[in-house]
Formats: sequence, structure tokens, C-alpha cells
Amino acid sequence: MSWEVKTMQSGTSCSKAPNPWWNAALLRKNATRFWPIWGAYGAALLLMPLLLLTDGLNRRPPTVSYLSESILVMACPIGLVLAAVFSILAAMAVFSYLYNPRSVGLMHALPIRREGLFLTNYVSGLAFMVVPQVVVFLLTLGVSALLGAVPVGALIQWLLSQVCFVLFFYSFAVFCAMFTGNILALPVFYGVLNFLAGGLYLLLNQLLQQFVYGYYGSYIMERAAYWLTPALVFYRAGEVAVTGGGGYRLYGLHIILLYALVGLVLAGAALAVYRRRSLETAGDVVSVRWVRPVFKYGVAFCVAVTLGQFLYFLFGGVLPGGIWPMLCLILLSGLIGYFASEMLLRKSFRVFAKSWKGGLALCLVLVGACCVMDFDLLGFNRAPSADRVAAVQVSGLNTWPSDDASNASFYLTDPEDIQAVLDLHSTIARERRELQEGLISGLNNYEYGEYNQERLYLYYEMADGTSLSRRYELPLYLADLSDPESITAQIAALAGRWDLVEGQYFNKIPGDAELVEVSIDRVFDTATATYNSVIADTEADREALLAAVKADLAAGRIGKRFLFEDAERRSTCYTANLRLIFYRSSTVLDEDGKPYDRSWDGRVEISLQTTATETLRCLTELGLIDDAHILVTHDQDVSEYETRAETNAAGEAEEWVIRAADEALPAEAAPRTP
Amino acid sequence: MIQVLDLVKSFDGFKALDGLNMTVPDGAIYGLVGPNGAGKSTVLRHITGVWRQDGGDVLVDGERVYENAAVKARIASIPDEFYYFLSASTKDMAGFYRGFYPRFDAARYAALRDVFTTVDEKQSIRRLSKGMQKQAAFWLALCCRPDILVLDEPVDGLDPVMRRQVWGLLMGDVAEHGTTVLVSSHNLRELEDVCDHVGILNHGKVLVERSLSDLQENLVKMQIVFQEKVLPPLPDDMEVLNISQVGRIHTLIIRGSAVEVTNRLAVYAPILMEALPLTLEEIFIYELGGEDYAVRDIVL
Repeated sequence: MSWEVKTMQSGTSCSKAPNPWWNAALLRKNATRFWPIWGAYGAALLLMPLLLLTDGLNRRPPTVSYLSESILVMACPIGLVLAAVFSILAAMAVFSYLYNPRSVGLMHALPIRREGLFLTNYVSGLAFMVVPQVVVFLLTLGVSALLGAVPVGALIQWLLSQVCFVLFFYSFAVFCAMFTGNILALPVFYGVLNFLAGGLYLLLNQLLQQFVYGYYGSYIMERAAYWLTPALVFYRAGEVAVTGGGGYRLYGLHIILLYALVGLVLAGAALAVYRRRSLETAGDVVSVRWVRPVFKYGVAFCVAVTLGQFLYFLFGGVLPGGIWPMLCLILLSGLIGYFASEMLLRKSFRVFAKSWKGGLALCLVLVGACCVMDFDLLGFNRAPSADRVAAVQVSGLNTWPSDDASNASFYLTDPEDIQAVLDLHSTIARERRELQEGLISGLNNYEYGEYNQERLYLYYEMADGTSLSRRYELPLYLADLSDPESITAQIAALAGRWDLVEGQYFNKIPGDAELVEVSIDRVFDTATATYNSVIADTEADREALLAAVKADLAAGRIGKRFLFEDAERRSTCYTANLRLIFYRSSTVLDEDGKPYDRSWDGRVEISLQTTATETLRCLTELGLIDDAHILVTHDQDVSEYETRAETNAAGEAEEWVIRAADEALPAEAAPRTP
Repeated sequence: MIQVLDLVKSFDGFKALDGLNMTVPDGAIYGLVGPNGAGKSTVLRHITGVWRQDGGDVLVDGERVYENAAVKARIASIPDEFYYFLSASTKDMAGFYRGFYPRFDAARYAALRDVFTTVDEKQSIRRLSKGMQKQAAFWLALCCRPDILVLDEPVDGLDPVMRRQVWGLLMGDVAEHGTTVLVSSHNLRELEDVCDHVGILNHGKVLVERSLSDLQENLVKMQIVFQEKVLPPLPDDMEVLNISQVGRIHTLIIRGSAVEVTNRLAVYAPILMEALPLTLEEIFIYELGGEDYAVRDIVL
């Protein structure tokens, strides 16, 4: 047989230029090759109309409101997780040809431009998810019509949110796909980069808190980490809010739409990378040349921070104090990360001889950065100059007694007050080393009550509109209270500002709120040797007590703060707290302008002290405390247990009760005859 | 016509193609030969528009190949390691190619069924034997009706009968449609039978590029016997690539035409002198011998 006979000219030889920007055959091929992906996604989404149907059949007739809530609640997080997972699967499938030199050869020898390949594959993968979404949307519409209530608004919101989730996650997955030549690396990149910002923020925060005295976080970093962690943003934005009219809506649909636009931008960036991609990098972990050092040092840094801190967490207990053990662990972890990434890039274990210089450079940079932080070479702890500060908020101090003023927060605008805080800040900056050492050694060297550790937050509002925040862990010494220049004394002076204490208790209570209940917990019943609560019965009693409390506050007889659990604190503070409950009811307008009732209640807790003469007198007059119902101080409270132990042995309970009652009330408040 | 102009391609600092120039005339069967790592597959991937060059250009009839769908529609290729979709059959792939190549010839696909009888067109290509996969690749490539067919080790894995049949099909296309065939192979004896042009590559450059007949005319193998056993001193301007001796017979590979070399050696009054043509394999070996790629005597 002659083969030439078989090669006769065919009628199809008429020339027609191929479309370089799009190819339907590729789209069809993707759809038939990867049907398990869109099939599984569609099946998962189908649960929505099925659940609605079964639920609707069980509780007839479902309302539009009920169906709306059910649909929107399903949008997130179920839809979010599905979108995130199937997006990476779709991207891995349709761009899988980039990860094998042979498939690269097949696809790129075809008469189509890279833009055409990208567009067709991108649309294919997107269609894998959007088409099932539209089908499920229509099916749910039909099901709800069958049930007699059609939540059109909620369904449209559901569809919009799902399309947007997919648009973002899929585009992001495709973007990641362009930077790697290894299909196994793609889901790793995708997963890591999705949570990199949030994770890195937490780790860096942790690290900086270890190295930089005074650092506790950065608002800008925190916000950036939040917005760069799209899963978190979507989760928050996908929460369901109730509208004024009793309807339901997605809380942040506008944010979801914004991220969908970001997804489109990412798709554009992915195309730009693809156009420049070197196809011979198929099989490489990183396929874009300029990203390779970013990957290498990025992995090294992340491993240094993560593994370093983890090892410190594991072995920190047996290591000496200071930054050096931590730094050594960070260096070790950084080198592990560096050489591991080098092995991935070179696809070889023999990397040490060729890349030790980079490892050395990494170590030097890490050591340098740690030194800069530890020695505060950038002046991080320097107090700002007074003329730059408009206001300062002081908070974080946890003082005794335990009531609403325990965690005081003072907002200071007076220049003198600001200067006092700046002086304190300067002292802290100056004595930074001693303070850090004191934190380590103090607990071992001092008795309880002579030493304490406090946390101090300083938040400066600067005159130029910026802000500055610092957090200090401070060792405080009882012995230093007598030295007005000491940090302990300055803190005590700040915490004990009588003029500011009232605000700590009552600032949160609106002026028009009504005092509806006053009670005291832990009133000691001498007859039964038990603690009970007592309540002021009438409005007049309540008002009288409130007036007495405010008089004591104004005179500085109540609300005194203590930095130490010392003898003075134990003998001054009662174990009982006065509890005042306020209530307010008002009518406000909802989003649609309709009035509705909104109630509010708040509680004030004030620890009673032996110096609160007006309050104690009032309590006595109202009969809330008397000879048989007394307040006891912490000293006496401790004695109670000791005495109980003794009386159990010796049967002398009555004697103790009399002694405790004697010590409990000041003579002028509740004179008692033994 | 395919023109490769100063083509440069580097991989991590290693220059795989170092200013490569070559020209494949229309309707030629061009054999690309060279030692391992010379850059043959690399240049073919540029000619098919798969890889982006670092420098230089690849043109087909004056138009750049890279990212040019119209030009690529005229090129079909069979790489040394070809790829088809997982579980795709020859028929599936034919449908796929039909969507890309406007000149895909369905009638020819049907006609070639009688040629590639051993290939089950509905069977997944990956499940076929290596030789059958190769047949499927030829089947599909030929149906694209290419003006240019780029083949990398094309008949590797085919049995002798199928080789003949495939070459017959290719020659037929060349003869009837003026198809240009660019073929890279280490099987020089086979290339010698089918190629009319040859390019020899080494270190990312084309050392020699001529028609096969020119190439053969430019080198001659002389077998000479002199009165003395020792070879007399030859003229300095005579470019002798290789000298060997068995008994009293000297074998010399000399650059030049047979007539010219015979005339020049005649003055030494040899007892016996014969000019023999070189095979492509010998040309390859002796041309590369000057490029530090000589056959070495290995004693183990």
C-alpha cells in the first residue's frame, strides 16, 4: 500500500485564523475532565434547598423571615469554607498543566496566546463554582415558592455573597498558582498566605513583647493583619444582622463586594505574572525568579519567629533569663528555615556549601535586629515631649480593693497631670534594665505584700492627631512608697487620685438612669457565723445610701486604692461590696423610623472601707448593719478561718464573734458594747 | 522558512543556547544533530513557541513565533516526552486539537485509521504501549495539517515497519504540501536516509549547517598506502581532522572535496589511494572532534 495515497488533500485545509484570546474546546475539556470538582461543590450547595424543604415541611407554614434567616445563616460560615476549599481545588485543576514540563509543552505549543489560555482556564474554574451557585439559587427559589414564602432578598444576598467569596478565593488561588511550579506547593502557599498576616501579627507581637520593653501591640499592625486575613474579614462580614423591620441582612455585604473587586485585581496581577512566567520552571517550588529570595528569607524569618518561640515555650523554664537564650533559639530556628527553603528551591539536600553565606547574613540581621530592640537603640521607650501630647490615658493598673475602680482608667488632659505621667514614663525609660531584672528576681526575693507586679498602659493622643501607646510590666516595692521619686510612689500617686476615683465608679451611668437596687454582699451574721446579702428596701433608702457614698467619695473616705496587699489594706478594706443597680428605659427610632423600647441597666460595685464614715453611718441608720450583722475587714476575714479551725477544736466560736464585731465597725460608725 | 536568530537561553546562569543561528528552508527535512546537552530540545521548544527566549528571535516566514497564534497554528510538534490528558483517548485528543487547529483534517484522521491499525483510538493514550503512544502522536500531529512539523526523537520506540510507514507519510507531506520537517535525532543513519539538510549543534550553537550533500562533499575520507610505512609530512594548509593507521593503510579525514584532496595527495605517489564519502555519523564525529568532543579510546 502506498502511504502517499492516504495523505491526499482534505477539504478542511481552508485556513481560518485561531482565536488567540479564548478557546471553547479548552473550556469544554476542563468541564469534562474536572467534573468531580464542580459536581461535589454543587452537591454540597444542594443541601441548602434540601434542608429548607425538609425543615419547611416539618413546620408549616414557614415565614419569609424564618427562611431569610435560615438562608443567610447558611451563607457563612458554611458557604465561606466551601468557597475557600473548592477555589483552591478548582485552581489546582485548571492550571495543573503548569506543573509538569510535558503538559507545559502541550498547552503552550497550541495556537493560543497565554492570555487566551489564562482567560479560558480562569473562566472554567470560576464557572465550576458560579454555575452550581446559580443553579442552587434557582432551585431554592423554587423550593421556597413551593413552601409558600419566597425570601428573594435573602436569596439574592446569599448568591451575591457566595459569588464574591468564590471570586476572591479563586482569584487568590490562581494568583498563588502563578508563583509556583509545584502542584503540592500551591495549596500550601494558598493556605499559608491566607492566614499569613494574622499569624505573623500574633507571632511578631509576641516576639516584640519579649524583646522590646514597653511594646504591647500596634493598632495599625492589628488592623492591617485583620484586613489582610480575608477569611476573618468574610467571617465577620458574613454575620447576619437584624434590620429594623424584623428582616435579616448580611452585616458586611459591602465589604464582601469590595473583596470581590480585590479578587479581580488579583486575577489581573496573576495574568501579568503568567505572561512573564518562565515555563521551564515547571516542577520548581517557586517559579518566579525575584520571588525566590523573598520565599527563602520569608520562610527563614517565619520559622525563626514561630519555631524559636515554640522552643522557648518548651525549654524556657530550664534556660537562664535574659534575651540571649531566646535569641539563640531564634537563630537556630532561622537557620533551619533558611536551609530548608534553600533545599526546596534547589531540590537538593546539598545546599550547605553553596548557601552558608546567606545563612550567616540571616544570623547577623537577626542578631542586629534583636540588639536594636533589646538595647532600645531606636529610643522606643523615650517619653514624648510635653508639648507634643494633647492627652494621655492611663490604664491597666490592677489595684486593691476589688471593685469597679480596680482597673482604673484615667483620661488626663491637664498639662500638670500629663507632665506627671511623662515624668513617670521617663523614669521607667531610665530604669528600664533594673525594672526588667526586678520582674525576674522580685518574686523570689520579697515576701508577699512587700512586692507586686503591675501592668501600666499609656496611650498618648498627640497634638498632631497621631497616637502613641506603651505597656509596661513594673515591679513595685512596698519599701519604695516612702520615696516620692520612685516608680512605686509615682504609680501610687496616680492610682490614688481621689478626684478621679468617682468617675471610675459612676462615669458609665447615664444621668437619667434610675437607681433601682442597692445591696451589700457579705454582711456577717454573728448569730449564725455566716455571710449574707442585705438590700435597701425603699427608694428613699437607696437615694440616701447613694448620697452617703458620693459624700464619702468626694471627701476621699472611700475608694482608696492600694498597690500592695499589706497590713493597711487588710485592715482598711471590708470584704463586703456595696452594689448599686441602675436602670433606664427609653424609646428610640429604628432604621425605618419606627419607635421601639430600648432598656439599659448597669451596676456599680464599691468596696466598703473602714474610713467611709458617711456610708457606714447610713447603713447603720437604715438597719442594714447592726451589732448582729457586721462588716468585717480582710484581716478579720483571715482570722475567721484561723479562729474557726481553733474553735472547731476548742468550741470558742462565740468569743471570736464578739472579738470580730469589736474590730469590724469604727467606734463612731457603730459603737458597740461588748 | 524558519529562521533562528542569535537565540539565547539561560538556566540559572548556564547558557543552554548561546547566540544560536539556523535557517530551515521551506519544504526541507532538516536534521538537527548534536551531542547530549547541546541544546537541541531547547531550540525546538523555542521554535514551537513554548519557551520565551532571553535574547534573539525565532521567525517563521518573517513572523515571530512566540505568542503568535496564527504562526503556531501552522506548526505541529511531537516532543521527545509528549503529554496527553489523563485518561484521554486518541479520539478525545483529536477533538481537542480540532478546537485549536483551524486546519485540523477530520477526513485525514479517518483515513489514517487504516495506517495506525494497532492503535485503539478509544483507549486511553496513557494505557497504550510506548510505540503505540508514538503512533497516536503522529496520527494527531499529521491531522493538524501543519506547514511545519517539529519532531524530537520522533521514531524512537517505533518498530522498523512503523518507522518506514511514518517516514513515508512525512515524505509524502513534504512532497505534496511542501511541509517543512525539523527533526532532532541521535539516529544519524536514519536521518541520513531522510534529511536533505543538517545542522550540527554543540554548546548551544550551530557549528555546521548545510545541505547533506554539501556536507558530504566538504569532507572526504582518504585511504592511502605509501611506499614507506610512515605517513609523509602533509602540506600545512591541508586540514586533516583525523588520521588512523591499520597496517600500511592510512585513513585520513580531510576537509575539502574528493577531487581536490586526491589531486593534492597524488604528488606523494601513493601506491594506493581511494576517496570515500563519509556517513553522517562520521561527519558528526569528526566535526565535533575539533570541538573537544572526540571519540576517546577508553581502557578500563
